[in-house]
Amino acid sequence: MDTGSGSSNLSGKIPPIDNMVPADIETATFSLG
Amino acid sequence: MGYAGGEKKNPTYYDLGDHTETVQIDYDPSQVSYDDLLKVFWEGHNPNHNSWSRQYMNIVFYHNDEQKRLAEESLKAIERKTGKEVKTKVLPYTGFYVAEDYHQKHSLQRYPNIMAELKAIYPSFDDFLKSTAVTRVNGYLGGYGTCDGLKDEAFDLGLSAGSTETLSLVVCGNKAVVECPLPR
Repeated sequence: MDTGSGSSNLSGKIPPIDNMVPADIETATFSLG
Repeated sequence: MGYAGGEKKNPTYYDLGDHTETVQIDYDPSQVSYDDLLKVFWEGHNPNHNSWSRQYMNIVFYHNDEQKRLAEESLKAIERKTGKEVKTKVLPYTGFYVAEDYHQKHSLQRYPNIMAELKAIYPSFDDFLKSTAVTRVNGYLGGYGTCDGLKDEAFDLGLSAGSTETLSLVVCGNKAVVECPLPR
């Protein structure tokens, strides 16, 4: 179901949260059968 | 979402070779610890279960000595607690192949308007996959999040008013709850 109003501004502006990513992130890898 | 653990080059869903379906997570250790992730991992499967195929196995792929130590300690703790042998493997990470686009962000795929909006921001699918906003919106749409959490970060997700309303409706049951998120 997508009830979006279709009024997206599609501004292409980077979401603020994506500019808050710290430099020292770590990676984890898992398989769940 | 992707494939790991095997030697076949460039595996695909229909030509997986000796790989196993895998999730890879980039995380901020100041916000969530590897032990936290291990807890979710162990709670998400039956560790006494014998995997019936290479495609679907239970494995921790450790990236360094610390991850190996923590994974092995958590495995032994489960064996001590249950008195049963854990069949889940702890193996060294040797590489990861990203799966096909249609395997990624399943919950978000059910909301094409929001998907289109985020794809307009990230025309490169690789950048799209690495976006924290994309990952968190996908999580909320999949039922992994709270209304209070969404209220706190709605602005930071960078969605339009329409998409924020949709997200609010899914998470809070009321599109007005976070209708007009304010900048921090």
